[in-house]
Amino acid sequence: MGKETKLLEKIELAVPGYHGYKKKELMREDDRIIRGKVADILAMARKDMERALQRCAMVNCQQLVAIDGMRKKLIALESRVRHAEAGYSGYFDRIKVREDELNALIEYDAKLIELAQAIADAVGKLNGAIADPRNLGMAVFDLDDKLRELEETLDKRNTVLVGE
Amino acid sequence: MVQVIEWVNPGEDEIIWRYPNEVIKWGAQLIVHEYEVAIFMRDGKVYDVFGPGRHTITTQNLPLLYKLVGGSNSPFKATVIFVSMKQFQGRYGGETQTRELAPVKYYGVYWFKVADPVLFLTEVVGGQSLYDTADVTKFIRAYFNEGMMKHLSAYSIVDLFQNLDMVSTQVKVKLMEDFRRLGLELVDVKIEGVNTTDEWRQRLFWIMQTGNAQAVMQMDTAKQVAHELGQSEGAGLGTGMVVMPQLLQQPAQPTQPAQPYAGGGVPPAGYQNPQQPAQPATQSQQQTQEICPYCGKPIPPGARFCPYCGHEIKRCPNGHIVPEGAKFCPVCGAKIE
Repeated sequence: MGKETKLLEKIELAVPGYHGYKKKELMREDDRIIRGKVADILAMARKDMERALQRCAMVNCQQLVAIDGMRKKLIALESRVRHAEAGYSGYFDRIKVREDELNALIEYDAKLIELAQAIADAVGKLNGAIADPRNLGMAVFDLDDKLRELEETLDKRNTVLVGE
Repeated sequence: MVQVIEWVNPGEDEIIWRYPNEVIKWGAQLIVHEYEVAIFMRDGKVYDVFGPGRHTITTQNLPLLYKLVGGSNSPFKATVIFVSMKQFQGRYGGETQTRELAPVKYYGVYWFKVADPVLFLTEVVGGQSLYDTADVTKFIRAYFNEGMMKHLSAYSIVDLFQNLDMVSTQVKVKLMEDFRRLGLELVDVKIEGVNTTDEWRQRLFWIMQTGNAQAVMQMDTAKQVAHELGQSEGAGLGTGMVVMPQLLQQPAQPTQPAQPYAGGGVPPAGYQNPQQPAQPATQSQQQTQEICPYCGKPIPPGARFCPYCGHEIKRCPNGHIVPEGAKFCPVCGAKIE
């Protein structure tokens, strides 16, 4: 499998006056692919978190409701990342999305991958700490921080599209 | 002309939609929206699950080929089934019993979404032709209610009323696996209401006040016996009132406020508070001081008839004295044959 441009796309890229639009379209598609990857990592983390919840219910740990709350937050983040704005602007819009902005979006996406991986690792630690009440509290706080960090980065990504 | 396949205007409650035409031309354009996926089946097999975007479908339905092979009827059948990936709401409600066999009615809402479209299609939709939320919720409600009944019956009535959020979270976690098996994801469960009978509500009040369910049950039994005695033939005015003190002269259990589970939250199913005296000790204590509920005189432990009045003493399988006609033991809740 590989990512390549088809003949029709190559022609579109060569047409004067149209190639700019096509290039941006391909960048948006790249952005979408990376966001899909981030969302997939978060989905895996959510499944791990559900396992942690089940273990937690088994041993009746105190953090059950807190972990469930974070699971809901993770669901929301996963959806936000997957369906985030891709950087389209209308012809008459006051704020235009140029190639620079699309590049900035892709940079944010790369940062999101790191954060999503950190969340997945934190969920792994949480899973390991279920039987240890002393470490579990710290693991919950750590995961909460990581979720918040991803949320903030996602908010900052969106500011690129409103021209800040 | 290019064939365009798209689920236009899905209804609010529609989970699944099958494209009605099974003869899909080579190169047909499949449009999948952000909130759905499309399952492409050819020759009866699932070939692919398409996410949002425009996809070109390659079937074997080239005009020249199918006219050559099948004449007017194309043998190359293909199916496109759209599955909505948004969240749906289902309602549930039912009756069950708590650990003390207190009757409990519950109702609420749950939210679910399709997690694995192919699994959902094969497990739920396939053979049953269920296409909207009403059909699907009807199908999964049986699983849901069975799970709710099973899990709620593991909790005590005090836990159920005092820690509803914790109980609903624990029940949700336990139900998640059942949903996953059907290709669904249980997003959330809310218990909107739990109710019990007036009689049990009163008992709940006293259990929460004294923290001693055993003493409350004994008090109930005494009250009931006194009431029955008062209504029996030949009973004088206030007979029940006279017998009451004798029925209640057993030493009161140490009254402590309800002790929460040491780990916080709701104790797991089957948990027994170590601070409360263990069942056998209480039983032996009771057995030494049994009183005939009909004449109020002390009777030997385990006696089947009162040596003073000759009345038959009914007992539950655990040896507790029970009122006549009772179907369940008011002390331990055991069923009476």
